[in-house]
Amino acid sequence: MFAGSLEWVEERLGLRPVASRVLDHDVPQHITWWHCFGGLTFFTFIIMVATGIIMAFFYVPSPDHAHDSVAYLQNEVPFGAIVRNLHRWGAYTMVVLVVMHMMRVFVQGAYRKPREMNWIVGVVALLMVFGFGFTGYLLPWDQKAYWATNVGINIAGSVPFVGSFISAFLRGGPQLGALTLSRFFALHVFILPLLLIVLLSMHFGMVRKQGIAEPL
Amino acid sequence: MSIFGKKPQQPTDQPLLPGTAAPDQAGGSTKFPGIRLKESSLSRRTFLMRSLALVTGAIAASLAALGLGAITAPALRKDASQWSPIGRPGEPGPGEPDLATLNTPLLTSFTKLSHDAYMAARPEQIPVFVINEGDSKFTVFDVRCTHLGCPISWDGDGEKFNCPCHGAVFAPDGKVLAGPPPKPLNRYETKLEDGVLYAGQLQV
Repeated sequence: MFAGSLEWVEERLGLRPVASRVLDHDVPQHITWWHCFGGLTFFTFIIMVATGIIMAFFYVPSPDHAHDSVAYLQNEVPFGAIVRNLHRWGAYTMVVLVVMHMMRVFVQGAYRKPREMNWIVGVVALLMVFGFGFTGYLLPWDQKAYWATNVGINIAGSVPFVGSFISAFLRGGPQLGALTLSRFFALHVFILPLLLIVLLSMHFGMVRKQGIAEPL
Repeated sequence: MSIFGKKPQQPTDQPLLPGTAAPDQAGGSTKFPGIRLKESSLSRRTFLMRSLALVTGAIAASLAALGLGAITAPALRKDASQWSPIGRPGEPGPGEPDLATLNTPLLTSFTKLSHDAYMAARPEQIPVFVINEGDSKFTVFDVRCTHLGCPISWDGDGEKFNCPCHGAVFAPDGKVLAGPPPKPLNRYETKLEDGVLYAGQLQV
């Protein structure tokens, strides 16, 4: 029934050269398994996006309902527990993988000229991954989430001079509460994903432009 | 030397790409000299590409199945069966409807515990028309028109139900007399127990 559909589209748009340029390019011979961690990190990011979108059908960022809606997803919704746990374990895995990726780049000296800018973009992206972890941890709104965020915000408050403003900004006021939850939600679900997608585009674009670093 | 791999070999005039056969593999297996591998139309490159597509597709399909399962499940959920008291026909308590009048639809309501996902269960007033047909038989009609859900009213003089929205008319037994509704009025399950009339599930 759909036989020939691809050719039909191809005849009109001519996307095959684009696809082969993106997906089917040559890889240098010195690639090892150590070079996989960046791609694996990106893979976990895709899992995070997919499971996060599914959870957005159920989660409510309000102190009244956040915990109940998470419990409902976990206990009542079919596949809810596996979706949530994919997101949770995927998050842990993403942090591990991104650190492995950074270690490889560091040990191999791949950050040297001409790839300094890509190193900087990567470090900012690493901080974003930590930001994801920090903001996502609060969203279930249980005791552990509340007090862990309390500790995290107090650590941010120890920055000289601007610390008290930073912690008040993160809290959305003098106390950890409704506004903290909704701004952590906005950061976790809207701001950080958008920024990370932009950074990853730059990251991957620079890799394609500059090639993969030669081994030492 | 490096744990991260070998330096690139001396460049040949034709670089070796994944999937292209190295010259020394053409004559036979290097591990098992003398054994000639069968020529296959499936190149290493095509095999890897198809494997990759298969694994990617399987992962995407699993995620899609999880997501679709989770977000369609609430649509398939049925209300838990529960019986809610409407009243005691003939001997109403204070504030309760008198259900003794025969064959006359009476607009009243019963209280049902509404379970809305993760929200705390809370009581909800369900308006209904109750008809005492005598002989301990009762009919409990949903007040919502089966066309688009507007609340119907009872016209005592004309002995019919009217819907204000699109002019639908229902007979006292719920049948459609005029207008656009596709089916008769919906009823609730009923039971009479120890002199109390209960409403159960809505029969749609």
